[in-house]
Amino acid sequence: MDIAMLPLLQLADSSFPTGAFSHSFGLETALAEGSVMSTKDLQEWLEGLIVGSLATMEAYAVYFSHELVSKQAGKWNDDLFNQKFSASIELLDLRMTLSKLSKESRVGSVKIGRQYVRMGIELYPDAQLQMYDRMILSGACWGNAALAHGWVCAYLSVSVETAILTHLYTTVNALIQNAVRSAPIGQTQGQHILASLFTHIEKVTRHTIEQPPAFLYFGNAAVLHEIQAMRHETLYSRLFMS
Amino acid sequence: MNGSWEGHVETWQGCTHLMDSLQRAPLKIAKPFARSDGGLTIYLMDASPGLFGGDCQTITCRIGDGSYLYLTNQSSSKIHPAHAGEVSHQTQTFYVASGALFEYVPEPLVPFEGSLYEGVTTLYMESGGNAIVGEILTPGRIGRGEVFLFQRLQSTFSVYWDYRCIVWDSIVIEPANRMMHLIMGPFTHIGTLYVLSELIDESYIRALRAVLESIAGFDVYAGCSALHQNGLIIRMLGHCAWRLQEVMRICHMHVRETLFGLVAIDIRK
Repeated sequence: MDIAMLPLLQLADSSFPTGAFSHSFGLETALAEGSVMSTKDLQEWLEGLIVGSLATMEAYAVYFSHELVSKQAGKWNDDLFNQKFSASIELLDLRMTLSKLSKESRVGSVKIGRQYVRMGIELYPDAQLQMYDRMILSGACWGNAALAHGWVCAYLSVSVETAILTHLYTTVNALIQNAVRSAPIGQTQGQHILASLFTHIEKVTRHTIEQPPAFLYFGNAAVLHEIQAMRHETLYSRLFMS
Repeated sequence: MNGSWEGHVETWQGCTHLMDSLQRAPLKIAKPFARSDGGLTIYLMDASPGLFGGDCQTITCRIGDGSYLYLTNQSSSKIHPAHAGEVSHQTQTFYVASGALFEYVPEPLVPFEGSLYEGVTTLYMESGGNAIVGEILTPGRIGRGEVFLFQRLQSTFSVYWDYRCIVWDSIVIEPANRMMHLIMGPFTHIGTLYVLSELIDESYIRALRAVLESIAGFDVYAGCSALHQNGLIIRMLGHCAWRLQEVMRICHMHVRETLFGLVAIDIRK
């Protein structure tokens, strides 16, 4: 039995309290403006998010965070290592946060990230997430869920592949649940969409591991989703915070 | 070829002057134009067909205290095919001092079939500095059916305010890896306008959004949001470069008038 299976199920569960259920990251705009009206539209919107943003930002953040924390294991008391490690984490956190150009998405991502860190410290006090928390409190970092997830997974000795898979799954699943709550899309249809996206999530994960970019060499391509997230700020009727 | 231009503008007796200018072919500048508002307009000129694989173009400029500089170029930046797999680089670095206004609106970027492009634009702002920067990315020479046939395009824009990074925007497009309609909808062109100033607050962004919404008939899908600090971004998607340029020009001139109390200017090309 994989010893980390149950902790992973807990971290990837939609009821894990990060606050992701309050954010649509532009999906609510797409629903309100009519560009997402059917299950096929929703599937394509999520596919766009996966290939344009999750693949090139979130997956890389989990990858680098997992790699950094894995290398750091056993050296938490070495000041020199801690300095180098902190500088890398700061840069990763900075780019992951600032790359969200819509204010609501940026603020939402930080809220989810901080909540994940808090939960991580509660559940795994020996994972050294307190160091990330101190960096957030000091203003050196904002807080990012992808980074925190990679960190916890490295502590749990979960492979980087599984760490990326679970993070992408959690992100996509949260958005589908939000779509089910706010649009005429049923739970069964939502589950079909989620299952249909597995191949994309697996492909992105494989690509990240086989051809990882140089550190911090990533970017965003989901321009449509980004503009929808910006337009969310002035939507007349809003269920979600972003 | 590694063309470069390094400039330095300063204000003297109420007018902005070009104090230093160092250029390396094929990049050069035309004779600067002194405007009636005391500012300076400089046109960059590239005496080559564009950037080939392995070319590296460097543009650097220091905008001194209280200086007003409008920098642009004559024609689109053409990125030629990377036959040997070499990337075409463009590095643009600007230092904006207190009280200065730097405006940089180059013509669109046109990546040809098989091209590889990496552009890095960095602004170092001092407290009290202001900047308006625009960028338009096209999918290629659409007139000849060249749509998203380039290999890779990465455009990174970052801003440091008093040496602290507050903007990091990196667009990476690899058409072969992505079905473009999924990430851009029915659109083909991307436009971005950044306004950087300590004068910007939420109420100003709301007012600018109203201006953006009132611009009709251009078939442009746009959004506007606050940057982390001291600024805003307008991101647009459209079907052709001139429509994005026109929407960008209207917003740019509106900001010029309402935020800086300057009259709209007509940049002739």
